[in-house]
Amino acid sequence: MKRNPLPQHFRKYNIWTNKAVEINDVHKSYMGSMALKGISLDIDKSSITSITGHSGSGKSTLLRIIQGIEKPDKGEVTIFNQKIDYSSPSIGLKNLINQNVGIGFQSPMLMGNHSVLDNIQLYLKGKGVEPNFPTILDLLFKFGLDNKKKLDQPAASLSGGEQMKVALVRALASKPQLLLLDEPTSAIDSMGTKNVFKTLRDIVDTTGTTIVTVTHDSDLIQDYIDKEVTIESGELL
Amino acid sequence: MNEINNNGPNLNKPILDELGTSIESEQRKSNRERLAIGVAMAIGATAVAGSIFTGDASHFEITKSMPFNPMAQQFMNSLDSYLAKFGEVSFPTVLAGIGLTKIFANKNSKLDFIDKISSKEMVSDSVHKESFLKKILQKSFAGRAAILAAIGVTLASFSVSVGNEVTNGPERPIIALMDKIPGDTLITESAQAQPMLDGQLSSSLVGHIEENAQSKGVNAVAFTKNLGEITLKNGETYNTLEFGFETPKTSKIYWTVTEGCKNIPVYVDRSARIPLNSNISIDGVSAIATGEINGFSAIGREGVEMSDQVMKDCIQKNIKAPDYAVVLNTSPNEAKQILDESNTNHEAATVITKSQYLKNSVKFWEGNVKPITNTLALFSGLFAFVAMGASMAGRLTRNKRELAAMSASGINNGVIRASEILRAAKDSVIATIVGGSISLVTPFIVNSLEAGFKAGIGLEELAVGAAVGTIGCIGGVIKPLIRIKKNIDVAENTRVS
Repeated sequence: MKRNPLPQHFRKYNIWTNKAVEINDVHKSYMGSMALKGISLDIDKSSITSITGHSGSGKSTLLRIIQGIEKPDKGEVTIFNQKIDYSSPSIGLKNLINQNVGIGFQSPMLMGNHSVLDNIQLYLKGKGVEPNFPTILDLLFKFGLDNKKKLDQPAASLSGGEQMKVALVRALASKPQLLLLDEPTSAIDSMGTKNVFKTLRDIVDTTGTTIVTVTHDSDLIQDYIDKEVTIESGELL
Repeated sequence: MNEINNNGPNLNKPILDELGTSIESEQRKSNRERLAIGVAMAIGATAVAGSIFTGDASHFEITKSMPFNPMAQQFMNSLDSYLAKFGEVSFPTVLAGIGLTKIFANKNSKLDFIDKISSKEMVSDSVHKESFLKKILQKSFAGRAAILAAIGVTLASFSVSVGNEVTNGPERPIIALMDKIPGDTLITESAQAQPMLDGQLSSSLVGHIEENAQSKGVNAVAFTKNLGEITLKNGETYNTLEFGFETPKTSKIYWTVTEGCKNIPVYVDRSARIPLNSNISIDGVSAIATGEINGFSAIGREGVEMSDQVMKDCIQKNIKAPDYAVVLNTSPNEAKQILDESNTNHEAATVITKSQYLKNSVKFWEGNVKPITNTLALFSGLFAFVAMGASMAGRLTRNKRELAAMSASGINNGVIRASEILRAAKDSVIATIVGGSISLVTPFIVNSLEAGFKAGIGLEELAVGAAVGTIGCIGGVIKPLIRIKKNIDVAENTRVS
């Protein structure tokens, strides 16, 4: 019998579908301008899916709808067979999945005054999760943040690329089943981008995590992703 | 591809022309509005300057004719005691709340988050090294000293200490006087008698009272009171509260009128700091400060003690000068009986107790000054409230992206609110400690400015400061926190700026 890889409390949402995310006919407009025109897309579990497109194509809008941050005008998004309730007073995924979804933004959004370690552990604690330091350190080392001195420094003293990596570790530290990333390597050079995605690939292969990432240029990461979807003018190509 | 020339893309020229015309029109409208405002301000400035120049403005007081409201006075009279009671409860409660959070933070992840986030600002304008003191503060308690709130605390404690001194300070000479004369009952001109109110009993009535009291075995001591002035050799003057007592021949201030009103011996309250044997002038009469008394001074009034005889002969310039009151060491009932038997001419006179005399004094000063000083304490609280509210709003603006990211990542808004409330609670404790400590030295300033003024900071004043700190810091952040979801707007603040 196949073992259910999800945590106990999360299993109630899972009815043995192979889909991590199901997007059905999602529309979104801003001030009369259509950003998304009926997007439908399924994302398999334990895969890396890259959403690409030009600036203003609607790729980030789609990801933010999956993240539960933006509310679609029409259509629905299902995560692990559970519809996101955008009408809930607390828009977002927290009521639905809490620590089982990791979120990354276009900028690191770290607490610049707090240390690197605090940025990671306090996020977990705020959600009521006790941090596992070996896991956190392992992730930091995997992303090349292996300078112990830097871990105690204020996050604001790190370079932009390092801060993005810390934000990635922060999103991964709770061992999420789904990771939703918005241009995670925008501040990282091409070599660094490859290294980041190689690490993400390893994580997916070893833990079964599903990753959906928005990228500007997917050429660099072709070797590490399972699927690429392109959005142009709010429509899937 | 559009053909480009000097005029831009040909295809869009009509649209661009229309857009350009529209923008120009809007800018002309905006310029006209700005011109109108500028003209209005120039007219206003001319009017104000003209008013000041002609002197009209110096007589212009908008609020002078506001009516007196006795209910408001009564409320303001008691405000300091309400605040003190609140502070006595709020400060230990807040401290206990912070302590409990720290104790249970080791066992509960969310409490750990709340404690750590509330001890440090999320973002700072720079990554400069933090000072040693700030590091200690962050490790032990809170990340900053809420200076504006501390100023509010200081002002509140100081205002109340001044109010208390103004109200209760005049008790000092009364208590000192009453300690000198045995007995709890007074015969005075009116039931409202108190040192700031003149009153007199004729020498014949006082003589009869003394005779009748003696026949009943009651001790009766008459004394004279005068509100006057000391002038030092250098021209410096003090207002005085002068008391004249009968003095035995062995006393340093014993005096016989045969010597004339020259170099009369007096005792002056120590707070005037007049060196012993200094030549001074009391109400125009030359005197020598032969000794000191203590505790006879009140606000702006230095206590002076002299012989009853010299006060009547030299200060009041009348051998039959009246006395102010007679103190009897008997019950009010027997004193009333003595007064009734003595007052054959039906002069204005009544029996009151020493405590009534004290109450009259407190009531007089309380009604005159306390509402004003308590209003200052209230304004200090409002100041702290507004300052902390503005500080919270500023912090939300500074940290809204970080807070939005937290909220989007699954950290409950309730947890974020709790951390900001705990931050405010920590601010309130720091503000109370810092502001309270500063307030301890503030009475020296007023005490040095006003002779006989002895303002001090005690537990009541500190409790009022604590109340202002708590209300200001925690109350100030409530409003922004109630609408935290709207204030941090996750959708807006997680976009790339």
